[in-house]
Amino acid sequence: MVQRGSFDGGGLSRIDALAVARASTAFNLYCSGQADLLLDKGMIPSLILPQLRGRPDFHPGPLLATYFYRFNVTRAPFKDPRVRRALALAIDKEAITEKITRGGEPIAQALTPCGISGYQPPEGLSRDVEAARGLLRQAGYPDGRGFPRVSILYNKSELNEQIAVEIQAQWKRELGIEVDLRNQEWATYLRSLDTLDFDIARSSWVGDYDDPNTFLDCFVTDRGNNRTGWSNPQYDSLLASALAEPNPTSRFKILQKAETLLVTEALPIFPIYHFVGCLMFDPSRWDGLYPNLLDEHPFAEIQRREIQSSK
Amino acid sequence: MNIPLRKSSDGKFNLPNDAGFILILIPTDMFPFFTRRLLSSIPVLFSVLVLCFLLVRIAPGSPFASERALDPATKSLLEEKYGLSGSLPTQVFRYTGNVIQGDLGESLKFRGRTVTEIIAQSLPRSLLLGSISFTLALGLGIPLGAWAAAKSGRATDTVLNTLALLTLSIPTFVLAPLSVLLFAFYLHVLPPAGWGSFNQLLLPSLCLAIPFIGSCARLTRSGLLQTLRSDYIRTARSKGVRESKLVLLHALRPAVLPLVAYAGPLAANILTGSLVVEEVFAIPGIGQFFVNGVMNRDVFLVSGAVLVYCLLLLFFNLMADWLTALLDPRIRLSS
Repeated sequence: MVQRGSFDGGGLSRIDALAVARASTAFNLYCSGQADLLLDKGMIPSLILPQLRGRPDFHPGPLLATYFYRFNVTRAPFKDPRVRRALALAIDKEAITEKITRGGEPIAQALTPCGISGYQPPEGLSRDVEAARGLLRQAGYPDGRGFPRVSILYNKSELNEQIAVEIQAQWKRELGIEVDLRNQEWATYLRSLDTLDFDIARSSWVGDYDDPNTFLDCFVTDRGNNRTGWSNPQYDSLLASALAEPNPTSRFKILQKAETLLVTEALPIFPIYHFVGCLMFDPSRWDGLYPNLLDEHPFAEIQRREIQSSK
Repeated sequence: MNIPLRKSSDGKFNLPNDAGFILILIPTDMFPFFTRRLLSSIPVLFSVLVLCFLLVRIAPGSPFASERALDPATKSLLEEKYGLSGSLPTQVFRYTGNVIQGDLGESLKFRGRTVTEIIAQSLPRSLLLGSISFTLALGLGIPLGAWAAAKSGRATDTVLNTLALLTLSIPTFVLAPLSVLLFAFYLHVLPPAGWGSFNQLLLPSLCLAIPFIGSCARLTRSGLLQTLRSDYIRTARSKGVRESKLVLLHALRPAVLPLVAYAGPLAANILTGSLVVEEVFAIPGIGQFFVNGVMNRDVFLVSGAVLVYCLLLLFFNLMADWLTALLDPRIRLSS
């Protein structure tokens, strides 16, 4: 990208955006000085993330994005909210973020990440294995006996697979239930989600704008992004009234009530962790880059420190 | 190789006065063969194109799907815009009609870029990388194979054979990162990735070539060992011809015939890019576009890339057949 005419390029006359598919390649380019900035956590191999913490050029920050699992509530046994709740309560999310994602991701009890100004996401469900076992017993599956064989669907990626394997092991250990893993490539996976051809599916959602509605609107009845088969008139009416509410404080209260219904009572989904954004750049050479919720980094703001000091 | 053979009447080359640079080496009795092969390529290309289009369209998933649900009305409008509406035969008919007119369509993933544009930008990079690797594969594989055959049964042969097996056994996704680690981060002599300078070409072309060096060496060695047992070699040896002259001048030419047959598909394969090498070294070649096109159900991009691959394959197979006939005067490509 080359600066044109009157466009204020922040002192940078040209920016080369390298199209790199592999995290290890991107990181190699950065380490060898061929790239100045890494603007995506996906460009840093997750295995070395723990070693990068504390380095002056490593800049992690929260991101408006959540990794979660969906239940297909049109299929047994997930028609029963007690089963969905039991499965969600048995998950050790810390184990996933500490052993697998390793980027310092905060565990998610609600769908909406913290950090949206004025909005406090609900507390959600904390891990409670005893309660999970009790719920499963009430639903007719004591110690997991008689629980139908279901599968976790995920799109092909090492991270998704590791998380699915961990959740599979946790459910087996804590609840005595067996689940299979079902791996599909991206386009097929999307089709399976759209046609509700799954039992449990991994998902993620990146907020489009700085408001809880960007997450919560997905689960309104028959929304294209619902992809769970879940429909709740109370939830729909809460979202509709939030849309009509001009007072931001009252609006956020309504949205919080809706989210509480979503992640603590009905649970067509269960959140696992919130993503973090990681930038890599040398702060002694670059200015104008700040980790932010929407992961937006306007090029016009990026400046080389030498240029800035010589101005 | 499925070539009808017949003995040449005189085995001589006829040089037409107006022949071009390439054609001067083609004996006149090969012209019918070339014409027939070129004509038979047309239905082959057409069938491959139709089959590829159908396979991508039949595969589950839509090229317009993303994690964000698409409104059905928007989806059908997009399908109409890109000529993917209507029944499958209608779509195939529309697409092949466009291809015949030279229009390969627009990429469905990289909106606003035509397939021709993407191929024109990415193919030359893969071709450059591939030709260096191809030259390395043959340039190193043949001498190493010849050397191993000449030293058959001795320590040199064992070492070379083991090396060839090793290069064949190490997958590129292991070899490429290891070579980056060694040359870029331990020795600091080559860049780890990127495209544009001579230095950036070295590691990827070597990584792409290494498995093929091994297979070329093995093919040459086995071909040469077989030839060295022939009567005419025994006669030459008994006349006192030097071993090096015997191998290089008399035995190598017929011995590389299996290699020539192998080199045709190899050339097409190596020149159309490798996903692993292109990803590890961040080379914007056609290999990545092709594989990602399949993942994204980018039917026009995939079909365009397959068309290029098919053209290259047909061309190099034809060249391999022609070279076979050149190398062995007993072989003629008859009608």
